[in-house]
Amino acid sequence: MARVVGIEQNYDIVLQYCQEFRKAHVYSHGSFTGNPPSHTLIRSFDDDAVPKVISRAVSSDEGRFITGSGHGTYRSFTGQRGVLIWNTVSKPPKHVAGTIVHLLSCRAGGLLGLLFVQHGAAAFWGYTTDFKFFHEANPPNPLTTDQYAKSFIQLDAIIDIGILNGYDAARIHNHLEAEFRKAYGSMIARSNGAAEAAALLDNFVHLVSPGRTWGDPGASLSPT
Amino acid sequence: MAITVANLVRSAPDDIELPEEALNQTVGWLSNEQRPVSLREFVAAQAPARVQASLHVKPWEAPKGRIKRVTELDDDELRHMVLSVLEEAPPEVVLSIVGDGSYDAAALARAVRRGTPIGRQVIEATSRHIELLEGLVEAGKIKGLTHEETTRDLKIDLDF
Repeated sequence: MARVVGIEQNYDIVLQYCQEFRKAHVYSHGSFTGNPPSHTLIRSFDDDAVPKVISRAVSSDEGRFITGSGHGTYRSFTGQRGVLIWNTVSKPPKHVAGTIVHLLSCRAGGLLGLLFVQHGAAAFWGYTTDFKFFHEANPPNPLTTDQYAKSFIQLDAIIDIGILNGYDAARIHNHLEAEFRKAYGSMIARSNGAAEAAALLDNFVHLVSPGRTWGDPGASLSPT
Repeated sequence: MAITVANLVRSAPDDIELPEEALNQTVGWLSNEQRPVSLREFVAAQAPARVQASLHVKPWEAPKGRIKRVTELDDDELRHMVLSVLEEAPPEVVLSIVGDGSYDAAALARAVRRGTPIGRQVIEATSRHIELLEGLVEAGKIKGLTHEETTRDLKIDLDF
């Protein structure tokens, strides 16, 4: 059984959007809810998205997938209320070796992701630019009904769903690209969709995925 | 394969459907009139004949003067083109950047005019999008809508 560590925060509206969509599509994945489940989910959510709790969660040889949304820079990824979780000054936790990592955050793919791979992470997915999305100025309740935010965050969720399904990078990337084309096509089909299309494209061209630089493209999550 | 505009154009299917209303959006720049160009004008000037026919655009709808592709624009022209795109954005939305707050179209326009880091990001992202759209048109990958009206209710396939 693979151990999956999920990191989510709720201290601003952007993180609330990410968390709500990811709860709906990632953390409700059948691999966690099946009988028996094929993966164990360790939740480091909200006030548990802090270094002490996350360190404990990933400090197991069973830890094989870390997925999280949060604020980031090229060199860092932060937790609840901006507390530093990982940066490039410190070595990543030793148990990152062999782990697949996906961070829905700004820029952390740039240097932090490379550091993870240099220290043995099997694969890294993330972004080298600011992850951005359009949403309603008056956010709806629930947030997952926001038709503008949906395409952006659901596209990113394809990465998690593919990993949880046990797929390799090529299969995930192929599906992600097909769905990106669909979403982009839908945006350019509207006279007022260009700004959205530009943001979606900007995220997509700055996606980093396992390959020559960000880990093993054949890495996949085994249920056992 | 790297995700680049050239690769996205090359590997795009040749059946991206656009309704008539989509032709109003901004693409390049008309040098002699110093104004943004609509997609309709760009199609009239640059698209293969079958794309023009499919979209019901006539070659005579092309503006007089040379349309500059987005990659040929100077900084001032690029800024004006991006401002034109932002004016078309729906009023009910904001752009949120993870870690950097939320911006409505007016705030994004101010950032573009002032050349702030966010403004520069918006310019870069918008110009890349226009470059892709221009590339898709010129490569004949666009055609007129042949079935139901496109709706906002896009369904991303998460079951794969």
